[in-house]
Amino acid sequence: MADTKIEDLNPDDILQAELFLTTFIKEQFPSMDLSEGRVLRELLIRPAAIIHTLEKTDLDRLRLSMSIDAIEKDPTLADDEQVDAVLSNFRITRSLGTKSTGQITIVINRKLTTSVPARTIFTLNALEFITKKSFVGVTTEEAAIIDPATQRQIFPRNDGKFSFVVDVEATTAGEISKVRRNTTFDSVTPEPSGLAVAFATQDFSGGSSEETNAELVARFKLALSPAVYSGRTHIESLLRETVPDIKSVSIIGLGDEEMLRDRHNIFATSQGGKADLYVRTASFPESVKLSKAATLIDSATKKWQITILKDDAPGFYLVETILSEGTVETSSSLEITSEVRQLNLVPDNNEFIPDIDTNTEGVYSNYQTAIVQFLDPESDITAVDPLYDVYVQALPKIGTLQDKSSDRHTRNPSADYLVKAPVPAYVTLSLTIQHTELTNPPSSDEIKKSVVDAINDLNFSMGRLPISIIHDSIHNVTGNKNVLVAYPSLMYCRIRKSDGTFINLNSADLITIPDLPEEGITSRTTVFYISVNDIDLTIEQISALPV
Amino acid sequence: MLPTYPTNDFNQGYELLKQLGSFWINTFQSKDELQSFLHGSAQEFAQTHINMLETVACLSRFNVPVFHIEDWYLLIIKKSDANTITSIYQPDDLQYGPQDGSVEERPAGLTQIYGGVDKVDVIQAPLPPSMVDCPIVLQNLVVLPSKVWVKGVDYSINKEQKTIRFRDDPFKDSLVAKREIFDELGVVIDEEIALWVYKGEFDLDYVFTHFGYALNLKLKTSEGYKEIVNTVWDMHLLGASVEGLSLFLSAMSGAQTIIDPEETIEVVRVEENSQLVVTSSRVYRFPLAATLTVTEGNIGDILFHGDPLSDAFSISELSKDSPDYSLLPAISLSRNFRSGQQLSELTFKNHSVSLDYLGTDIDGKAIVRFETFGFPGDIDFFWDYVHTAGVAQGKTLANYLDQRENPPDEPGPLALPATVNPMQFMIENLLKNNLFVIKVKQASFSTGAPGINLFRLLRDVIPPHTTYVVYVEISDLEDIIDLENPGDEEEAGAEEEISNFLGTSALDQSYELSESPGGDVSTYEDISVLAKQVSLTCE
Repeated sequence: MADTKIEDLNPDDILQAELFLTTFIKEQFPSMDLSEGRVLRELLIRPAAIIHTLEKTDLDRLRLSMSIDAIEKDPTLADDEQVDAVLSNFRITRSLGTKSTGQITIVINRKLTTSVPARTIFTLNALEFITKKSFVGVTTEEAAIIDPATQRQIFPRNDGKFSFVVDVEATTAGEISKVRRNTTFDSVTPEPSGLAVAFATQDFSGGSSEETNAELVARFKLALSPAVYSGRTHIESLLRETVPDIKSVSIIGLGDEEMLRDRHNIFATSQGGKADLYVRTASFPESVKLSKAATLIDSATKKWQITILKDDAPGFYLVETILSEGTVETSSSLEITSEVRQLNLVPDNNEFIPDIDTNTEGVYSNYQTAIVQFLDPESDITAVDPLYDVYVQALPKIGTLQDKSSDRHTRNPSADYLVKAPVPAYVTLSLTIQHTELTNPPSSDEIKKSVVDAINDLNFSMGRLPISIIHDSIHNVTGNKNVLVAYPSLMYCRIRKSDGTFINLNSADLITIPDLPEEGITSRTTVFYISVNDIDLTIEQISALPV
Repeated sequence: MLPTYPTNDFNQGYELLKQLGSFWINTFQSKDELQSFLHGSAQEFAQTHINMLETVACLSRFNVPVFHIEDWYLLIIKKSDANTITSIYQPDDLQYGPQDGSVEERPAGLTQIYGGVDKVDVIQAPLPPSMVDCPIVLQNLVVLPSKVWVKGVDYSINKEQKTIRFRDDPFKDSLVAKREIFDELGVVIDEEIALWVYKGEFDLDYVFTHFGYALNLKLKTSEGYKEIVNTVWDMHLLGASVEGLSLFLSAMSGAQTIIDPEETIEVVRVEENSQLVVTSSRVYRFPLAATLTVTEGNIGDILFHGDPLSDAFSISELSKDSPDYSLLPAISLSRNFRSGQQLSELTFKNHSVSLDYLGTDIDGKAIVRFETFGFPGDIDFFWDYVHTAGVAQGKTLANYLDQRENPPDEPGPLALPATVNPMQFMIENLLKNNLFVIKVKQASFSTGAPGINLFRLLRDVIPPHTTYVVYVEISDLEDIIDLENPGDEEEAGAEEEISNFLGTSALDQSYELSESPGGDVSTYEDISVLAKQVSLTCE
């Protein structure tokens, strides 16, 4: 806590103390002259009043420095060390943020042993990612690799080039460093020999910002609550203890319209005993690469089928892309002709299986599976179980959380908890921003990031996406009255239902999550998702007369 | 506890002077003035000491002070602020027009006008923004006051309005220090008086600033708010136990429960404005409208921590053996508890009715129903679903109710129970293991109690696979509305009027009326009563 200076004292407080002293003395010595400018007033009473006020103010600041709420309102009350000490009273430790990690595919022109030394820097806009250790791309077969941690096999690609992967970590913490799959890096220093291009192999994982005081305050209730399967805050506390990066949780139970699983009786009436835990474990779903063996369904059309098992990508949302193994990652997906979601409720080793009757009840949960059929016109129909790279979109750790909920060490024996990823409401935007010639054009990247953060932060709150939030986030970045958001800004939203169809919404003003509890879709189960790639942003210059 | 004087050396200037040494006592000529200064300064130190104790107390949610105390506070009231506040009256508190002299300080002949002062010489003025009470006395001087105003006798505090109301106009009192206020031309434009408040209470948001914010729970500062914060905090820490829930309801209703681990009832008494329950260690006070759960016949009984003393609230645990269903008149199930189409809730009453045997369906399966209230289409759909689902699952409701051992065939009326209690049936067969009932009687709540809107806080701490029903007994007022007759100015009534019913907004499913999944739609009718306020009195 910074020392209080006399000039910082509230003059009214000093006056109150001064009045008290003068009145007190004058009551006993009415003839004593204690008016302004007199010696006793100036040299004795006022300094005493100032000292008393100083002491009281210091005590007040000491008291307030024990409250995070007060520190939020007046950050001069306490430094970070003091704040952390206060947090310890609530069993809270500030998360300092994490750096995102991931793999980068290095494409080279020739199949030659290629080294990538430790601390090689991959640059993307202003972000830097480094290799924490040396890697060597080797031409030997995988079985002959001596040290898989540092030696990576070089594979041929169907564009005539070759590739291998290296592991990298962002140099700074924060969500901004989460790179999406196939994003091409601007430069590599030092550049590996024969480098053609370097891009993100998969979505980077991790990457969170240091917790702000406001975020910490929001966690207080959870910190008070023991991590056990009891009340909603206790359960959320346990979930966050298991997966610290959880963004938001919505727990549906007895008496909630969305609770369908406790109505498995001839009255279709709730009996209780069950809860659905909707957990948003990331701001945006990650792209997960699966290697799946396909079965030929129809040789005439070259239709193949793969099965996505429950443990492949628990709670996944979409099958994004299917490529034959080794195809350039940026290629278009093979045509998907059907996708049928099913449930696998067969227990492994006496595991607890929640009571799920329908796909609506089990969609986006750990128990969801899918049979996907697709056409591969270039395929060899004589091939046996050919491998395909299947990219699915999923939130991380849904399976981990279900395991925790079903684990006999933590499970409530009288309850049945099902962890689900929230129903996805995918948002795309079409925005036009105008600026005068007197103003530099605003940064497209910064605007997109601000809009994405604002929308993805909505979580389970209102179930509404007003355009005002988007405009506000844009103006937070531009901060300039000479930058305008042109009307209309168009918002599109697609909500994936459990049967695979979509509810399409669009508006220039407000997107509202529909209230369809029987389909598991309400503001308590559904969240908005948007990525920077989903924003069509036009920045144009407009003329303005000089003033 | 009444304040004592002197409480310590800070209250005695001479003791402080002695600490300075013999020169200041024996030689220094203005020692009396010095002693006075030391005495006054010591009062300031005493206040600093109070502030320090409050700061330490703020570390504990149990000890956090509700209000900040200022030992001595100079309250300045401007004449221009006096009587600028509109009085709020209780019913029959004020009659406009000529007064008959029956009310003290409203002499006969006084004409009470709207916007005028309500009593001669009464002055009402706003308190400083954070000040909430002057709980003991006001004085014109600190050390040797020649005039003391006693709370409840000479002045009163309206905590809602944040005003102080004097019985006699202090501006007319010659013993009160007054000062004229001049404008820049030297013209008197106002007058102010200064009074010393002893132990003034100030709301510095201690409870919210130090603990309430952690729960995102902001209410008006009060002892009740502190209790709510503590009980909710306990339920976060310890889970929602019966005792925790009972303490929460006590704080919410302002109806005290037994505080100590064990107390013996000693006195149960009704006073003019309240009812008292005196135990071996505490005195509990309740409003007259509350019904106490203890009587004089309970004197000598031992009660335990959390036990209620009034009917402000009660908790009924339905999962126990032989629960008390008499608490509830009926249970209504809305979309929150039922799947399928519905326009409104289905209600199951708590009384015994005959079980309706409707014969068999085309497959020979027995069909039964019992009394259900709601929109007729909803009722038809509900019972059709019950039977269809029972058939699909291989056991219909009639099969479940069949009283025969190893029944060889579908039950007939004689094999079925003659009567059923619809509410008990639904609770016992569906809900009882995960549902409990909270009954509250608002008339028994204490004045200023936080109230039932705080039930929302329970959602965080009640296990989500369970829930509770709140049954609110709102008042004892009764009125009879004769639906057969139109109302008039004297009595309420009802008139029928034909109007369009547009129904609920369509979802993405629809069907032709003739294809309704319910029964014969042509037989459905819907009756509603619209209550309108036809007059009110404005004062």
